[in-house]
Amino acid sequence: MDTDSLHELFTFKSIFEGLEDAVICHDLDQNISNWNPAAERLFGYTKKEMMGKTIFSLMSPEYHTEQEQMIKDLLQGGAVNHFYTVRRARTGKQIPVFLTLSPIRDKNENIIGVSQIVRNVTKEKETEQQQAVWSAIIEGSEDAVISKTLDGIIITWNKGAENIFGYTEKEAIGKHISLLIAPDRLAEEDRIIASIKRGEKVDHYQTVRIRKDGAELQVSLTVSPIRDGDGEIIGASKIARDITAYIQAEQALEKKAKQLLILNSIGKNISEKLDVNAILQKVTDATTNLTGAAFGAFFYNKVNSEGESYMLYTLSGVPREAFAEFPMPRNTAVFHATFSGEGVVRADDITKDPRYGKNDPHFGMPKGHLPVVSYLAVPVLSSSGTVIGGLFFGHPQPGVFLEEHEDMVVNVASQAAIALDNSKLFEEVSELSRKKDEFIALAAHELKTPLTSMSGFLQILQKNDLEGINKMFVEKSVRQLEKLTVLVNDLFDISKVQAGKLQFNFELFDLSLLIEEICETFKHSVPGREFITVLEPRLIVKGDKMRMEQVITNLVANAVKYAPGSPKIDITAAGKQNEIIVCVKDYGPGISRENQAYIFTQFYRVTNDEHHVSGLGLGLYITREIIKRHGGRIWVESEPGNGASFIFAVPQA
Amino acid sequence: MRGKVVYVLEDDADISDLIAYILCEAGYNVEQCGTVRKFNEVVTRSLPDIFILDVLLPDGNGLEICKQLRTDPVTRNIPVLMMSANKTRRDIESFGCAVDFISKPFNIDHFRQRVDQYV
Repeated sequence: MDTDSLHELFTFKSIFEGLEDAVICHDLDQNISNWNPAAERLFGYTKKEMMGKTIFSLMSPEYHTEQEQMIKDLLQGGAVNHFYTVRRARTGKQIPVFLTLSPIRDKNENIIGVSQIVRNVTKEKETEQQQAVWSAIIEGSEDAVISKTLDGIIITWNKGAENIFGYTEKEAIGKHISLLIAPDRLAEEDRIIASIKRGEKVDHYQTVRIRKDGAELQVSLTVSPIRDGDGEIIGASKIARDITAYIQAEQALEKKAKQLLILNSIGKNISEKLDVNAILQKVTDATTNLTGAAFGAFFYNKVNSEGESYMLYTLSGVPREAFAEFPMPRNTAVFHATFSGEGVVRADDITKDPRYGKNDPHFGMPKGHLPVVSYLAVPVLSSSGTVIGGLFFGHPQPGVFLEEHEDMVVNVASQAAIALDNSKLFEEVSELSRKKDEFIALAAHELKTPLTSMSGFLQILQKNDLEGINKMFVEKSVRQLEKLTVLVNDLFDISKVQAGKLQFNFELFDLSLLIEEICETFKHSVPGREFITVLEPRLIVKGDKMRMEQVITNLVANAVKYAPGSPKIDITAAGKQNEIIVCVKDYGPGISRENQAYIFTQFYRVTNDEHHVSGLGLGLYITREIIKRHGGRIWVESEPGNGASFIFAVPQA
Repeated sequence: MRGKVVYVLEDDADISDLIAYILCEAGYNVEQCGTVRKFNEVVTRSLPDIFILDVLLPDGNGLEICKQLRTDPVTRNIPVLMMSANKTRRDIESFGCAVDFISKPFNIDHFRQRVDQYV
């Protein structure tokens, strides 16, 4: 062997041993004659172990024929390149490989053996399998999985896409993605592609896409960039999920919540109201809203349930003029069930109802009537079971009113009935109360007429030079008449307070001076009691002087009357933080806590077993009303056994 | 000197007599009318120095009469004193009768002084 050949041999050997791929040589009897380190790594056998062994030990028996065939092909001058097969390692593991077989020839060009290059393609195989899995997933996905170029041309289209959008793979591939986009949303696609070009993923983008049949679809899009091996963005993959059902469910939920809110608020709303019209309007608006009706009406029976006496009361969804031309609904076949209280009428198309169009003169809706197809009518029954009205709803489309709408309206109708009953009761009570006030005013007037002449004549008698017992009796009579006058005046005032007609004439005056004058009068008329005044000078209020005099007189007179054992009565007045505080304090028996709570209410009188004190129980009620009308407040402070203080505060002018 | 003349329009006979008594004692000549009809007859015949009018009357309203008296040039300068058991001075004023007022029942001295101040 010359030097050159030797050199070449070593070079080959070096390559042979350094190769990443396994290289195995064997003779034509398949006996292994060479085995490189890569083969050792791949199969787990050392060269020493394998030398002389057949190549068949590297494969499962089912591959033997294949191996023999390959050798045969090779001997006949064929080539084996990148032949895919499976080999077995020492551990028994099956290894996917590519084989490249080359003949080994002698000097005479006779084939004496074979060299096999065995490339482990486990990794490639795995990738391939993964791809298969992915395609299976993509193909099986219910979501639409679409890929497209950066120009928007569709490259792949899965089964899900076909199902969701209605186009087959064949129809879609090669088309522009705008196939699925409504013209007014094309700008969206530009924005999405711009994000993709920046390498940004678009996540859960909710939008609308168009199906092949033209129907709109609510979809959620997730779009990701597709990169080539160099990381260059070459397209976009898009997953579109049909969320129409989800959106519908969400909207239904939202609607339900809104309905609940209306239902809750209406109960509260109408129970707070006592005005019939306000209740009717509220109920009409709410139920029209709840049912999704185009228009609603509440016919309220103001008179009786004779059948014909219904009145159009409130409307919703249409202006009043829309019904102004029509007479009140009559007791026709369609309306009968409602107006007689028989039950709810709900029709998907009332014009197809057997009861429809049976009555003279219109035989159906009068001309110009709002177009009613869907119809819902619910009677409103009072607690006594009488029909007090009916709620009617209409819609120009058929099948709008569902059972749930019926249930809601029935629910609201029963609440409305209660509110309307209350309102009626309130009207009756108000009317009674008004009559009572009228009566009191009349009675007071009638009482004052004899009082005037009696008091006048007694005063004349008093002027005669009466003596002894006559003088005393006349004086007593005059005093009793004065008391009677006060009582009648109180009665008269109370009727005015109740009717909200107590009039006030506000002017600026010195409250301190007024109190001083009143106390002077008491000192003269009630001898034997001490009236001690501590008054801050110049306490200016803006008030009704006459009414204020009534307040102070009443408080001092009460102290005299209800604290007969109190030797003195303290009257104080002082300014304090923009207010004038006036206090009338007695040293009598005081007032129990229980009585303090009621003392300012109408007709309430402190019950006292020890002495009976006359009165109607109106004085403090009127007093409080007057103070309230002056923007002030009044209260009592008392410890039983330690007297009572009546205190009021009014704003200082 | 002839006593001053007072026309009293009051339907309650006792009150009317009471007023007549008080004012006659004080030297006035009192003409008592129980109805608006009689009052109108009296007024067309001659005029007094002062009118004293009740509000509620069987055949009319004293406030209406007061208004008429105040607008008629012949009577507009004759003082009017309104009386009422139910009305207040403010009621009278809000009706448009800016005249003096006394509420029933009244103190007789006070009543006489009111009349005295006008004549």
